[in-house]
This record gives sequence, structure tokens and C-alpha cells, in this order.
Amino acid sequence: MIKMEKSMNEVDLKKIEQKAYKESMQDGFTEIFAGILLIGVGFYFVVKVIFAGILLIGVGFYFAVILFAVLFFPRIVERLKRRYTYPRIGYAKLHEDPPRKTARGIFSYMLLVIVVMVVALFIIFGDISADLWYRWSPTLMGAMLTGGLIYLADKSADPRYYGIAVFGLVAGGVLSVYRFESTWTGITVYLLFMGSCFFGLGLIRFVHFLYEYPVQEEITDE
Amino acid sequence: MSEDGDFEPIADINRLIHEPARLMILAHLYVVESADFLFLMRQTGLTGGNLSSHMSKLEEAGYIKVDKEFVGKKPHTMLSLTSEGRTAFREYVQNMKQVLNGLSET
Repeated sequence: MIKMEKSMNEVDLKKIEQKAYKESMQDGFTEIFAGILLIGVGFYFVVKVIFAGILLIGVGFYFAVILFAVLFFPRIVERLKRRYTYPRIGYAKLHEDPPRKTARGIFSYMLLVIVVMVVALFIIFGDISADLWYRWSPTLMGAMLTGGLIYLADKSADPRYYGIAVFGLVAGGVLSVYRFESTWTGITVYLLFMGSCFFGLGLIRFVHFLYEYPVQEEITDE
Repeated sequence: MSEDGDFEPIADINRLIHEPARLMILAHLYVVESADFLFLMRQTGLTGGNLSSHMSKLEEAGYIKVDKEFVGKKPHTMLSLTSEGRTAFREYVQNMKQVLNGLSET
């Protein structure tokens, strides 16, 4: 119930909104498709190594993956939700931030992370070479993911996302410190590893969701 | 409350919104753009009949908009707050703040 004490009503409405957001996330589709995207990008680096020298194919593959994800993933997710999620827990159209604000936020965060990384690498190593940058790209990727996960944690009030963020950051750090033979191996392993983790987590959540929430019999207001 | 013991804020409480079930319905609709019947039923914990009854009262008052359609062969009901409903809800919240602030001063 809403509390009417000064500033408390806003807090409880926020909780209601967070609960609605958390409800919409419990089918695991966000994690599944985030995992697919990370694995897809990870494969770019595998392809890049295999087709070393045929740079155009590698770049084309990378952009094809991103374009596919941006264009088709939301539609695919929506179709899956209509089939599996909404008949079980209902549907709510949540308030969305204006696209410009979201884009500005993402861009600002990415810029901040890059600046912090550049400064940190310069302070620690006294120099920024391409090899050093590639070597620490898993940590950079982990920091980027952290931003997205913190956003989800705030939206849904689900503390598990903080845990995943820390895990991603630590994994990035470990793969950056470990000396691989090739500079690209670290980021490739990171993307494939984290992608698999996200995919697996999403799949587990989905299966649990199907088990926990059977399809509701026809519920009408008649 | 004023020194004269003015009970106007209490008298101004919107009785339609003040009913706990309807307050829950409006609070949930306030934080989303729209929601379907099943979603509201689960979030509020109301039974289908109960929700339907309160929904009708809110619709009659012009606070919510109810859209009924068929998804495949299944009836599907979407609810959303009207602009009047949002305003009324905000005014209710402000009014209740005044009431409770006044009570806490006594």
C-alpha cells in the first residue's frame, strides 16, 4: 500500500515500478539474447584470426551481427514473449526513457569508461600501445557490461545484476592479466565465455519460468 | 491542519481512489503505460471478479481506459490511466500528504 509520508510515496511507487520491470525480466530472454550477441561478436574475432588478411570479410561479419541484433532481436524477443511470457504473467507496457536520452546516456558512459581506461593504462604502464589496448580490452568490455547491468539492477531492484556485473569485471581483469600468445585471444575468450554464461543463465531462467508459471486459463473481466 | 482545525483536506479525499483495491489498481497503472487484466490481477492480488468490479467503477469515473480485443480466440483486456485519472491520482497523493502532515503535527 502506498505510504503518504513526505517523499515516501515516491519511493513506494518506484518499488511498484521496479517490481513490474523485474516481472518482465524473469523469462530470461534478455540474458539469452545478450548471450547470443556476445557470442556472435566473439566469433568475429575467431573469424578474424581464421581469415587473417581478408579483413573485409571480418569487418562485414561484425557489422552483420550488430545490424541483425539491432534490427531483429527486439522483434524476435517480442514474439517469444507473446508466446511464452504474456499468457503466463500478463503484459505491461513499461515507461521507456526517450531514445535520445538513452543514446546520450550510453554514449556518455562508454566515453567515460574509455577515458578512465586510457588514463589508468597510462598511469600504470606509462604508455598506450595498440597491443596494450587489445590486451586490456576484456576489462574494457567488462566495464561496458557493468554499466548495462547496473542499469538493469536499478530498473528492476534485482541485486543479482550487481553480482553478474562484478563477475564480468573480474573475469575481464583476469583475462587481461593472463598472458595469451595472441593479443586477440583475451577478448575472444571473454566474449565467448561471458556470452555462454549469459546464454546459460537465460536458459535456466526460462526453464524455471515455464515451470513456475503455468499458462493461465482464460482470465477475462466478463 | 490550520490552527482553526480545518478538516478540508480530509473532506477533500477522493473516495473513489481512497478504496484500497482501487488505490492499488491506480498505483500500478500509474507506473506503467498500460497493462492487461492478468498482469493487474497478479500484481494487486485481487480476484478476477473483484478487479473487474473496481475496474468498472474507475472506468465510469473516466480515470481508466479499457480496451477489449481478441488475441487469437482469447479475449484480452488492456487498461491504462486516462489523463484525468493521472491528474486525479496525483491530486489524491498531494491531498493525502497534506492530511498526514497535518495529523503528524498534532
